[in-house]
Amino acid sequence: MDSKSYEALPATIYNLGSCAARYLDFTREELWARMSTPLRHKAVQIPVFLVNEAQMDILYPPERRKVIDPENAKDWRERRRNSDDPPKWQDLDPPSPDEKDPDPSSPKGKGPSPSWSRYERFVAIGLYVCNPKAPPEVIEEAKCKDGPSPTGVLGFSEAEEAYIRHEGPRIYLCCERIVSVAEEKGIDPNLVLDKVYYHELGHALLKGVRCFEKPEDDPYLQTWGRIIEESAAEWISYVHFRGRERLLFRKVLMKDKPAEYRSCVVFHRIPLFPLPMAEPNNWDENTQQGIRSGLRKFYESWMDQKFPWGTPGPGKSFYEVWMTQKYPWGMPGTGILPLVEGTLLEDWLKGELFYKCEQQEDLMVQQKRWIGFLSLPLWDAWVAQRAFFLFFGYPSWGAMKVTTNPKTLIRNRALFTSFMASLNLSAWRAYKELGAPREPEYVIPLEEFAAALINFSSQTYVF
Amino acid sequence: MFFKGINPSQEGSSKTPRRARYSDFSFQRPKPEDPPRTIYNLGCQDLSPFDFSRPILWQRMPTALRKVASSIPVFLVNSWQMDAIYPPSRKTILVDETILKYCRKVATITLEVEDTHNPPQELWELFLLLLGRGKFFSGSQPGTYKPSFAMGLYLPKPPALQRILERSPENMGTGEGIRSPEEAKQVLQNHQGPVIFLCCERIYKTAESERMDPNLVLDMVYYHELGHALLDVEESLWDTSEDPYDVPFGRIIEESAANWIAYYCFTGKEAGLVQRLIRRQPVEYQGYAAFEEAPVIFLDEEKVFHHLLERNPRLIFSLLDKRSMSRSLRSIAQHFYWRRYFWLYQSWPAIWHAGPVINLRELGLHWAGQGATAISTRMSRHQPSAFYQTIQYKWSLESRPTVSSAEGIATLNILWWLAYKELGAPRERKGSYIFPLSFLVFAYYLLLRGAFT
Repeated sequence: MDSKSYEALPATIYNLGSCAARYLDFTREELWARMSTPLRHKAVQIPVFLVNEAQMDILYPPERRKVIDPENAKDWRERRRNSDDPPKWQDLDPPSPDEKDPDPSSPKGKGPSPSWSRYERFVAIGLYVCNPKAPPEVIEEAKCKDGPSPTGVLGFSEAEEAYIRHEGPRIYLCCERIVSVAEEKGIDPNLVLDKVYYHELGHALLKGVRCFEKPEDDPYLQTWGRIIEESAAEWISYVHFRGRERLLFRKVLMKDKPAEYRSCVVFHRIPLFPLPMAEPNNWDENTQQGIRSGLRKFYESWMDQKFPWGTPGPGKSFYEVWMTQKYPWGMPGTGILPLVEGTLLEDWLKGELFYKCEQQEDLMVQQKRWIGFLSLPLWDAWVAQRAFFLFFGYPSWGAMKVTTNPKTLIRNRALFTSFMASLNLSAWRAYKELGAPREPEYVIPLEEFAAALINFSSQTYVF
Repeated sequence: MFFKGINPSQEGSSKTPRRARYSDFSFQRPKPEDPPRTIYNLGCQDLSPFDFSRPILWQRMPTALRKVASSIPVFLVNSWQMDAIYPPSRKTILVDETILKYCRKVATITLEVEDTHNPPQELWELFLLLLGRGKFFSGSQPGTYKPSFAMGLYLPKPPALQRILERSPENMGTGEGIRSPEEAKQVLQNHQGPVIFLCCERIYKTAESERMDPNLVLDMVYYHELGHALLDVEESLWDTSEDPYDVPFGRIIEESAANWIAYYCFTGKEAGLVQRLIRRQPVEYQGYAAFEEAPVIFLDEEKVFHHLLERNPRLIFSLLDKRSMSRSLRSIAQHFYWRRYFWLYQSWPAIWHAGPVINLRELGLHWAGQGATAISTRMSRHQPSAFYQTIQYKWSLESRPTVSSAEGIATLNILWWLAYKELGAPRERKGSYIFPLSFLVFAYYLLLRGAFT
């Protein structure tokens, strides 16, 4: 047998004029091995164009140059928690200062956000477009017109033709920014490349058959839509890494990201309500306000819930404890619990509740919390069923043994989180597939979900 | 503090990511030094680019596939021979424009349609289209069928020997692990069971045009044909009037399943290259990725009718009336589509990259949480023995303690499809379309997820 090397790559990758493309390697095994089946399916379907900074600036749509400053998000969160008159989306995501008279009903102006310039090189690093328009000036901006590389990346002449001819979705990656970000952080540029590429493929996964022809139909141009879409895509990217790489992703790469990207770390912790919450066009103004405040309280109590067995420290929420506690063997978890191997979880919980609640001063408060949580009028039978499976039925009906086996505990926790995320992702995708209707029965739960994402990711202990 | 929020179960060496595979749970380890000697050359002149003695060819196979591979002889043929033995009914592909047009229409129907009592006309048309025997295939239209698709062929019975021999060249290639043409003729004369044909010329051409290793393409085609062998049932429906392959929905499910089996054998970059090869194939082959995302969901007939009766109590009278039967079936289809497709198929839980391994019971619970109460009892009611036999002999499902969620779903789907074929692939039962309706919606889902970017 001849030792001929075959340079085919799973995806079609064109170099449209990027000089830094030579530092990036698409032939690495782990780039393709990390991907899940559907992600790789999308990668095979969608062509990738490698572009330089100037080209990316032309390609990046002006209406998408919006970012939320994490500092701003913190203030917004505090004001929202403490005041009766909660701040609006516009306070979180202000239009550019040079824009005259922005329409308050739609916070999306044409111009970029005030803090866009600070985040540009971290955000305009990759782009997924569904309905591409191919402006010809991009080709003129090409800096390196290389031939096909031995690593399987197609050269400029093929890229030029595909850029003009190709119909359907495509992905642009800015190699110069990828390399400069990696240099600044001191990590492998290929890791940054993988992260950005998976993120764009995540956008492709979140899209159904429908492509929004009219810009006003696209929920991405709303602040809440952008928060959900970006955090979902970032979450998809995030879960494809393991171990040290995931740590680098979270601790290093996410540092300079706007708030909507950072909120991916709580994407699998908060439930999105099934849409629509009621028959469309049935809520009057009062009901809408009631639902809004109800949802807000729900999300706050969701993250603030005390442990039934009492919290290890004063004033710590369920989430806080979840994030900060460790098992004795050093893994993150719920701390040391008085568990007896082999007890049925149900029985243990009952005993635990009765015994511990006697010692608690705020017994009534806790009970009220749980009752209020269960008797929310918003929870119709379907949601209640889901919740049942979330809390009690999953991963098996009442027969889950209480165990101190770290493997089992970790597995159950992983199941729980991926389950919640799958519900959120599918609800968001189905909403877009339905044509992103704007009745309040759809929009209000989405807005509150997006606000909750921003709220909880802007807490200090998340990172 | 440093480790907070890192999911420890998903930690591990990121250098060698690898899915659990069937052979992990099997006692039968591959023996690379002694691969099954079942490959015969019947007419290929140049075999130098191919190597059948590579251990990886046999190591990649899951146990079930290796079992099939050791029992089915493989014949290497040239393109004339392949064209001669290829059945004319299979020289067709789905006319994608017609079906995709309807798919796009149905997928982008606005929400208000659900609230009206008129079922969406396009949906019904699409279902009829997917059920139509022999229609919407490209047999009559020249230019739509490319012979390059015919790289491999699975036949449940060996073809007439004469048709092959009269096209065999004089000097044929040889290679390690490949048996001679004389032996091939003997085996083909005496053999009764299924056979596989591989066309090495077309495989090499495909590999050249894609700039891939010819051995990789060969492996993929071989696994695909073995997949067809695995999906075949005892009393084969091949070329009978009940053959689901002649119906669009049947062809979509069959080819997607065979492609999933082929794809499943590969990991990493090789899997990506296989996916790229699949991308060249017609639309009915593209559902392999969606095949492991969601299980076929069977509706309880009573439940459907109960729901409809709640909405329209007079329906009970119309059900007795034969003329209005098609109308009530339409509403069933509509109900099925909106309730099941949107809330079950749209929420593909397995693919949202759930790292941990779960077992089938938990998987069932997951779906139960989303409203699918009975995914496992529908088909066993009719003929349990066939179903359980299928389980035991085809995949030996019970012997494996855990499978990954994607694997579990795909296995379930393969089982349902096999059980359906074992029942004779009925498309209507006493005026009821419900049974294939589940597969119809599933095929629609495969099309939608596979064909659209």
